[in-house]
Amino acid sequence: MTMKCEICGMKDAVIHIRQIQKDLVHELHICEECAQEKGLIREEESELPIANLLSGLLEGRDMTGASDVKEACPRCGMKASDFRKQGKLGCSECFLAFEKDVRAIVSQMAARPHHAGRLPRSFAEQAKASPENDGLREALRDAVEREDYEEAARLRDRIREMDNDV
Amino acid sequence: MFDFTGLSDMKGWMRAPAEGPGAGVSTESPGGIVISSRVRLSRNLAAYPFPGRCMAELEREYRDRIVAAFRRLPNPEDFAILYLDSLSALERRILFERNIISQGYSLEKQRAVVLSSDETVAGIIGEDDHLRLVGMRSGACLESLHGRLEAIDSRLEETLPFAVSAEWGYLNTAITNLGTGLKASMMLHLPALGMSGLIKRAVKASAQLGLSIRGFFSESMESLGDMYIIANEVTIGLAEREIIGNLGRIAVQLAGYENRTREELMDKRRVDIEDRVFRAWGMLIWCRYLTHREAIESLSALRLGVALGLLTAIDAPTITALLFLSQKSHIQRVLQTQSEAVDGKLIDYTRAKIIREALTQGRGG
Repeated sequence: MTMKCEICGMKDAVIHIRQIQKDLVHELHICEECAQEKGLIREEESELPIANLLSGLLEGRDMTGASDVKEACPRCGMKASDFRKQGKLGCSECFLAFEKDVRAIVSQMAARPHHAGRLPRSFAEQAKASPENDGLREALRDAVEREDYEEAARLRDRIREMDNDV
Repeated sequence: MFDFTGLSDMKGWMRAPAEGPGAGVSTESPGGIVISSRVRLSRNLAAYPFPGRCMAELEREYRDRIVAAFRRLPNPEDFAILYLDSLSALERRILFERNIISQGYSLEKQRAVVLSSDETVAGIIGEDDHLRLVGMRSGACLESLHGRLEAIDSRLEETLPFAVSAEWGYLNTAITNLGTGLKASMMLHLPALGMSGLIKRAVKASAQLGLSIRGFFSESMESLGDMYIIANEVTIGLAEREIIGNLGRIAVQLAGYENRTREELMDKRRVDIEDRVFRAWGMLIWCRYLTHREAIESLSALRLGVALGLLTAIDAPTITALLFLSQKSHIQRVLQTQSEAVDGKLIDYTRAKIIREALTQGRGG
């Protein structure tokens, strides 16, 4: 017996998706049309124009050390290649998985590539008190000693944000 | 539930910010150049994949959590929860025509929109981000809109753990939306720049200052009715106040440019302008069929006429409301028909009638 699509319940399910998230396994069996509609299948031409922009931004950069960029986000399965094409992330952990790429794009996109606005109150308070702050100060001293001023400026801004926020 | 049919339904939206909650700065700008303002904050919950990468059951789960957080606000009765699945196709399109949701979103399943009773604040759940808080209102009022959204945001964050990092601020789906997650925009009416051909230069200058600018009633640069949307491009590296301040300053400059050009045109081509304004008035008062394009262009000419003191029988907020009310789904609502196959002539006839009645109402017969 063929399985019916779990979304429309009409057509035969031809696409089977299994998502594993920590201990939970989600399965979804759907037809091609519904997959198309849900954006699970993407036609090439439906890519956003931002794709060109972002791959352009990434092309010009130094790729040394890029090997530690993950191929896909371990949590949501977003592929690095899709992220580069669309400029969209799949979940909050993608920011860790694609950290280098994100940093490279943001620093080309914005004059000051660090958040300078509001943060949730509880997060801001926690960040201020966290040992991460001390670690950053140490890293800043190191960077200055190495005369890596770009990194030093980045760290300085980060510490400043943590101290001043909200 | 919202009526979506007549001018009275647009009252909240048209009301001067000073009268409402979060009262603040000016409403109609000098010359009525700023038609409306809009502020949007994007937020995501750390515990769920972003929309589009989230299984249906999880989508329902975060939607319900966000709805519950709105219900815990100090004044929950101010917000209606609209479940898109329970709205008709026409009602969804009306939300789209109101600029509250996008066209793509209006077709999605399991979505919900939280809408304040005065229709000036909306929480869009599950569009590109888990939550987009949107505030919009006629006139120049970015600051007061942002103030109102910030107040709601800081209440919501007490129960909704948003995805954030110290370095990148609010973590959102689009990388172009990182940091504050704040998009501010203003709809500007720039007919004199359009008439004199200076608009191209203005568009270029705005783009160089890091803003996006586009026509409101078309995606291209040539805008119907000379209405343009300017918006910030960069969302990270600046504080919310700076983003809004920069946009406001550029809007003031563009408005100054437009006003000087209007003065020049009134000196040199007064009859051209009068002809444009009164021709539009005549058409709107007398015609029996009116296409959407004709409506936008004529209402734009009336707006200019009001700003220059040539017309006094109508005010700018009414014209703004008519721009929304003359869209197809709004008219279908008046006609109480859902059918896509509704007679185009009937739509055009009804559009002409709605506008004619609104324009002649205030004139005492």
